[in-house]
Amino acid sequence: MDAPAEKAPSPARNGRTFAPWDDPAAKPFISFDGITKSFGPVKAVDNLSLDIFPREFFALLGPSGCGKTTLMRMLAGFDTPSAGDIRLGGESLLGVPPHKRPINMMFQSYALFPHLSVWDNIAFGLRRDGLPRAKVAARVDEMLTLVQLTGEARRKPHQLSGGQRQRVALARSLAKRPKVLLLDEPLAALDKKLRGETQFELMTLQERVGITFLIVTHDQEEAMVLADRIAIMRAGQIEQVATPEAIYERPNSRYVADFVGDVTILSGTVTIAGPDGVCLAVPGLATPLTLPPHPDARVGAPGHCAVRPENVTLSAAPSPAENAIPGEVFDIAYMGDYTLVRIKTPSGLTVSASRSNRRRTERDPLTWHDAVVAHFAPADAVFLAR
Amino acid sequence: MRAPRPPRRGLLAAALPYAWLLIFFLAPFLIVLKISFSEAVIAQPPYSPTLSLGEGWSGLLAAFAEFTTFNYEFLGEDALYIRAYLSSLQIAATATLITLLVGYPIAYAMSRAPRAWRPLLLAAVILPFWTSFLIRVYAWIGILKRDGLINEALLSVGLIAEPLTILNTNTAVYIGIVYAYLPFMILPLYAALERQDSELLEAAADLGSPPLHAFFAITVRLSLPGIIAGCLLTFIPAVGEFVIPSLLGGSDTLMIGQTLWNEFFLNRDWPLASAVAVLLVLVLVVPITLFQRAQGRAL
Repeated sequence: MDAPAEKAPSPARNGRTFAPWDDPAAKPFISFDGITKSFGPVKAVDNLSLDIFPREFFALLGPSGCGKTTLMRMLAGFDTPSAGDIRLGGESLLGVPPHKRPINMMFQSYALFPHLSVWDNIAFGLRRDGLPRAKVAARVDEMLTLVQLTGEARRKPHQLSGGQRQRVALARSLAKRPKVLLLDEPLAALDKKLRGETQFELMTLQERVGITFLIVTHDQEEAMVLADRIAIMRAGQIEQVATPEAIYERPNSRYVADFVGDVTILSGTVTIAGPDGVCLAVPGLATPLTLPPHPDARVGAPGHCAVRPENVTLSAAPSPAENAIPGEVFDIAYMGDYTLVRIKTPSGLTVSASRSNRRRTERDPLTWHDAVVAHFAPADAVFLAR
Repeated sequence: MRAPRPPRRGLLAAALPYAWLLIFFLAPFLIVLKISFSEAVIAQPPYSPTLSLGEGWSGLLAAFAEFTTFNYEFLGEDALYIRAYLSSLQIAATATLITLLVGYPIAYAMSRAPRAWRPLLLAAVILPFWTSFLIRVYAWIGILKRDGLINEALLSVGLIAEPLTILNTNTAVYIGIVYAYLPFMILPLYAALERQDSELLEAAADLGSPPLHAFFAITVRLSLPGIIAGCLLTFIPAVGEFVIPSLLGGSDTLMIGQTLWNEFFLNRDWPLASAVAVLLVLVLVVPITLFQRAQGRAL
C-alpha cells in the first residue's frame, strides 16, 4: 500500500495509546443508532446502538443466531434495518445501495467468482470503478504481493488451497481501498494452525492499511487476539463492549464471563455491600466469599462470584485466608502449557483451577480424589449482579 | 485419496454407454451411410447394390465396387437442397434464440421461487410430455387458424378488424418450435441457475456492481453451460424437424426434414434421402463437436 497521508506513528495495539473510545472528543466513524431488524415476529437485532472509531479493529462476538451477522449485513447494505439509523462518517447509509457503499466485505464462504482467475477476481471491483487499465494492473499486483499470491495470479479458485482462497478473498475486498472492511467469520474454514498464523497476518495487515475492520466471529479466542474492542452479543442486543482485557478481567454479567474463557461461577446472596468489598453467602460453603466492591451489589439481593482458573490456587492444607473452598479433585485435564484441575465440594459445587506446567520434569503430585483447598484472593475475583 | 476401484466393474460401467451408442446410433447410421452410396432402382428394396452375406467375400467386394458418390454430387448440383439446408439452419437458429429468450426468465423465476414450490413448477414444465407431441402440434392449428382462438380473441376485443394469417406461415413454424422445445431449454437452464450461490451476487454488489451488471457478469455468465446445453437440445432436433413445418408451415416453408421425407416416401429415392440424412448429420455434428471442445476448454 502506498502510505496514507494520516500515517501517524502506528498505534500500539491493545495498549493504552490507541483508545479513542475513552476520548470524549473522538468522533465515531460507524454509528448504529437504535437499530432493530425483525424477520417476521423474530427480532434478530433489537434496538441496538454502537459506535466504532476510525482505524479500530472491532469484533462482534456471540453464538450463532445472536444477530451479529445481521448487523454486519445491514452495514454492507444487504439487509435493511426495520428501525434506526446507520451512519458512516456522520452520514446516513440508509438508502445507499450496497454497490455504492465505501465498504467491502470478506464473505465467510469467500464467494470467489469461480469462472474468474485470481487476478480477475481481485480486479473485479477495480474495473467497476472505471480505473484505467494500467492502474488496475498495478493495484492487483500490489494486492497479490500483499497477500503473497503473486505466483497464483492465473489460477482459478478451485485450483487453490483453502488458505490461498481466504487470501484471495481478503485481497479482493481490500483492493478498492474501502473505508471499512467487514470480515464474516474470516478464519472459520481454516485449520487451527493456519488460523493462528493468519490471525497475526490480519493484525499486521490492518495496521499497515489503516482501514477500520469489523469482524464477526463466534470464536472468542479469535476476537481476543484480533480486536481492539469486542462487543459480546446475545439475542439481538449487546451485553458488553470493552477491550479484550476488560472483557476477560471485568465481565459485567455471567453470560459474558462464561462466553469468554474458562470461569468458575458461584451464586449466592449478598450479605455485606460497601466500599471495602462485597460478601456473598453461597449455599454449600461454610463461610461467605469476600469480593471486591461493586456499585450494583445490594444486601439481600442475589449475586455471583466469577473467578478465572488461573487465579485459583490449590493447597493440601486448610489455609487461614479468605475464600478457601475445601473439596476433592475429580477432573484433571492436561492441556500442554497448563493443567486444568476441577474440584468438587462435598455440597456439589465445582471450582476450576489451572496449574502452569513450567517445570516439566517435576511431576504434579495432585491426583484424583485428593482432598485439597481451593483459594483465591478477593481482588482476583469479580462480583456480578446478573 | 480414493481407494483404487476394482478395474473390471469400472470397465463394465464404461462399456455400457458405448454399447448403447454402438447399437442404437452407430449401426443405423452405418446402414444409412451404406444406402447413401447406392443407386436408386425400382425393386425391393429400392436400391442397388444390396449386401448379402450368402455370396461370401467376393459378393461383398463386388457390392463395394458398385458404390457411387452420385447422390452427393447431385445434392451439390441442385440448389433446392442447399437452400433447404440453409433455410433449416436459419429457422432452427432463430427459433432457438427465441426459445432461449422465453425460457431464461422462466428458468430464472423457477430457480428463485420458494424451495417448496420448485418441484411443482418443474412438474408443470414437464407436464406437456404426458400428451402426444403430434396432438399438441395439431392443437396449435386450432389456435392459429383464421377462425382460431387467437383471431377470435383479438377480433372480439377489437384489436384487429381482419383475421390475421398466422397458420401456414414461417411464424407458425417458429411458434411451434418454440412451444415444443421450451422444456428442453428450461430444464438445463434451471439446473444451472438453481445451484448458483446467491452470495456471489452479493459479492458482486459489494464490489460495486449494480444489479443489472451483476446479473450479466455473474448469473448469466455462470449459467453459460446451461445455455449451451439448452440451445443444443433445441437447435439440433429443430434443424431436422419434420412434423412442425408440415403441419404449421406453408408452401414457402423449406426445411430439410420435409425434403428428406419427400425423397423417401414420394420419390422413393432411398439413396438420395440417405445422402440428405448423412449430410445433415455432418452439418450438425462437426461444428457442434468443435464448439463443445472449445467450450470445455474455456469453462
